[in-house]
Amino acid sequence: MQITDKQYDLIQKFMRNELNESEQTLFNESLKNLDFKKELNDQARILNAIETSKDQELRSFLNDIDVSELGETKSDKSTSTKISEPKGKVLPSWLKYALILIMVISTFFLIRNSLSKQSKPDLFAAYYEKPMAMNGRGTTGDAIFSKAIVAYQEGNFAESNAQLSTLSENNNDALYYASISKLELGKYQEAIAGFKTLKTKNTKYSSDADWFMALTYLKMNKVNDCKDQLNLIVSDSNHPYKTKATQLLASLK
Amino acid sequence: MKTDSLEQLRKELILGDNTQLKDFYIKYIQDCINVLISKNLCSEEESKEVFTEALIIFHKNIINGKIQNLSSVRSYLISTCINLARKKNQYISKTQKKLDEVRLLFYDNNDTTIEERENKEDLISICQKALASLSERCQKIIVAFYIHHLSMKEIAQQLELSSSDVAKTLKSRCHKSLLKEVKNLRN
Repeated sequence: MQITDKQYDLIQKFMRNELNESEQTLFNESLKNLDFKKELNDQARILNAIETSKDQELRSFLNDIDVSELGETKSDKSTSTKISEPKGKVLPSWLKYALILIMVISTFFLIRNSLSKQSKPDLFAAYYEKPMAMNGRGTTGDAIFSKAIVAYQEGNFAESNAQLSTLSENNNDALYYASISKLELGKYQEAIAGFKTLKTKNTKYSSDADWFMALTYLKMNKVNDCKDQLNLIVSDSNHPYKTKATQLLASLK
Repeated sequence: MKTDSLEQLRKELILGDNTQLKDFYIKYIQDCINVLISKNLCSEEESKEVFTEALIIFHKNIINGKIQNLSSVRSYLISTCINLARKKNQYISKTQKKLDEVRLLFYDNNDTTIEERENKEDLISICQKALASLSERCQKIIVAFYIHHLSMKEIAQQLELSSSDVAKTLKSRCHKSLLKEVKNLRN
């Protein structure tokens, strides 16, 4: 195939959607040339084949993990089971004392851990305040929304969640109160998903979503995720929840 | 995931280091399978395949910059798996889109004389060999430019080349070598 350097450049730019108007005209004219067309077709096919082969490589890399890594983990476990099987031998006395010591230390840490876990709900309670409901008729004028907001105000979160979830796809107010209702109901993952959507859509609830997402993580005892979220708030000097987030971060340290 | 961690992950993936991807695979495969099974979307075997595809999409979207913010890799993978299983999310690569566009150009002119001499599997195998015959740097430049669609400036940065002009010259040279090698292997 014989094409000029100029034609090669045209194909290159076409592949990257970088042709300007005059180049596009030239490109269209060049399509009358059979060699040019063959070259264009070849290059498109070659690049697609390379991407496909790269995907295949990645796929086999991942599938190999499935076979080897997970297999190793499983076999490691089975090996350790075999090792710990009683063999009928009497343990030496120093080993008995070492085991007792390990048990005492582990018990101490278990108790300490559970105590620290108990303190998280207290922290959550100290910082969480259910947002006041807006006037149901004000924004949407929707009967379902109004009904849902009344349920929300009354603390009937199952009802508010059920009603608001039907509206939340196209209504940010509904999505916000539905997410809070989910948090109240203990549907934490769903609540977080709702808050994230509010963030992504960059709604008027973005800041609130940041804060309640942090509190949801706290409630889930995902302290690191909670800290990440709080740090995000603290890093924004204009964030309305900055002070609260700073205080909560300090309490978690 | 923090922005700098995300940037670090992107850099690693561009350079072909899939260590973190492997960690995500081990860490989240079971969660994703459980969700897919609990939602009756697919069997366990199918779930594994769906999860692998989700990770490939994740890999692409990290590199091409579609993912700018990510609070949870796990949630991202789970939702991608669900969408894949429900067939709501069919990933079509940029090179595939381009190939479709090229074919449309031919059909628009009512010209179907362009022969596709070998089937796709043969071409993939030829291209794999041709690419492997190039230097490691050439392979990285070609993949970064044509597959990941990175700019010359970014390629120069990631591959530690002195300037984007150097990257551009190298890219042309590497690409022409690739085309030549493919041609040789075909004959």
